[in-house]
Amino acid sequence: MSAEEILRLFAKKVRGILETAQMNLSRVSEIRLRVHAPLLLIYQEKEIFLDDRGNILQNVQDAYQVTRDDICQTLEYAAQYSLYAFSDEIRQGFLTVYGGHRIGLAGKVVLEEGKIKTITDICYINIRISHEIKGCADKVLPYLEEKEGILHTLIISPPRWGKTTLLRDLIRQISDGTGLSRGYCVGVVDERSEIGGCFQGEAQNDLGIRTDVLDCCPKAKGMLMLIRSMSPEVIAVDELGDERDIYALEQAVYCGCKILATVHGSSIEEIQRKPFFGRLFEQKVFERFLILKKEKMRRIEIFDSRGERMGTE
Amino acid sequence: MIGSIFILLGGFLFGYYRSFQMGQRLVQLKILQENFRYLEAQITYAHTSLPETMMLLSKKTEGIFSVFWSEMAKELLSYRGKTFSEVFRDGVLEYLGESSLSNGDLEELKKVGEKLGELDTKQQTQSIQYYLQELKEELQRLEKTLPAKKKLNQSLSVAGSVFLVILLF
Repeated sequence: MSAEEILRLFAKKVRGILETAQMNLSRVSEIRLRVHAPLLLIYQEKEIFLDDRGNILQNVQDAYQVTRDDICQTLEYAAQYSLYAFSDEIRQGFLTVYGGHRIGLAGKVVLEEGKIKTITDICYINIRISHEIKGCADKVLPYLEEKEGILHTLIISPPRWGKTTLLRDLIRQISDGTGLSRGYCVGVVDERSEIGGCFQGEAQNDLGIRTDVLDCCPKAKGMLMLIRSMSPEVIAVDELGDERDIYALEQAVYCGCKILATVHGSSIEEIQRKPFFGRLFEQKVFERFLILKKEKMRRIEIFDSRGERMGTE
Repeated sequence: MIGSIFILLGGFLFGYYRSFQMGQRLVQLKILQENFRYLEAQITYAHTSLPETMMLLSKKTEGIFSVFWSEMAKELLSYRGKTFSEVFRDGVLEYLGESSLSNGDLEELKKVGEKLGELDTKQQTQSIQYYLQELKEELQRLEKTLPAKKKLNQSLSVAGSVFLVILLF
């Protein structure tokens, strides 16, 4: 998605501010709109504010204050004037737009029989701009393959540190094949449309020539569906969470598929302590762990199934 | 003499044109009925977005409705800062204003447009169903009365022109 297409998602006033701001949109990772709060951007990994003429500010006082109209208009544009089409996603607190950008939502949650029915009076929007970085997995890929094929791999990272970007590039390279290895048939269960950024079912991001995508499908159901229908050699999923995901993942492993998955966390020990994940560690399901670190520089630590460090890239 | 012939011919053609317009209104209301049935199905079952549905509709229909839906979709996707109902209202006036639909038909169409695009699918479906019901009743009424109305229109036009000729003589 070009900068122009990203800008089109915003309310007219906010769009004008972003258009006049002298900055490179490809370096913006988040844009936050909160009613009666300043327009806030994460630009080159730092918080910045903009005034109504698009000037970049470091202090909040003169920043443009987002209005309720800005939020409503942005939401209407992001949903292509069709909020009903995103009702399932809105219930989960987000919607994914053309290009794979995720729009997080918060407002008044409506419950029905203890379950979330929908979110109304949306007053907080967080637009996370998806970045496709081809080649970001180049250095870690050799660790994930042995003679028998691809190894079960878990990518561990806190939110916003680039685990989906890394997963996306791994999928692409594994699917296409590299000079050193053949291409594998990859099945992607893209529950939140973040990996492929599908629009009308078609992946907008490059996921390789041997990749099949189940878009907007719950991970647990999708993994089993893919096994039955598309016979993948590798299954890729983003953000493992509940027991159903773990159960389906085990099923996929027993069917001979290799797994590429991500999870929120910062260390192997932390993931082990998560509910339901302990079982996977007892069975030593994962053969490789990639842990994303962000200290002075972004780096990836690679561990084997015993938790021993194999390298840092 | 030649003037009389022209008046009679003009009266006949005017009557014929009015009848044709009435027939066209029936045809166009039927197209609208089909279009809104499709729209309802897309909203309820496929959860397709409105611009996408409108693009599909523009391919399924012909003539002014094809232009209407296609221009609506383009306008929506240009995100000029208008709400859906504003875009829809303007589109109805611009692209269907010259159609055979009556002012009442256009008003009803604008009203249903105000309900589209909301989060609540059920509410939208109900609005479309209500509109479809009204369309159905209007079509039934038209189909019953149209032949007689057409005949009356043609006869009155011819009679009017004959009367004018007599007056002139």
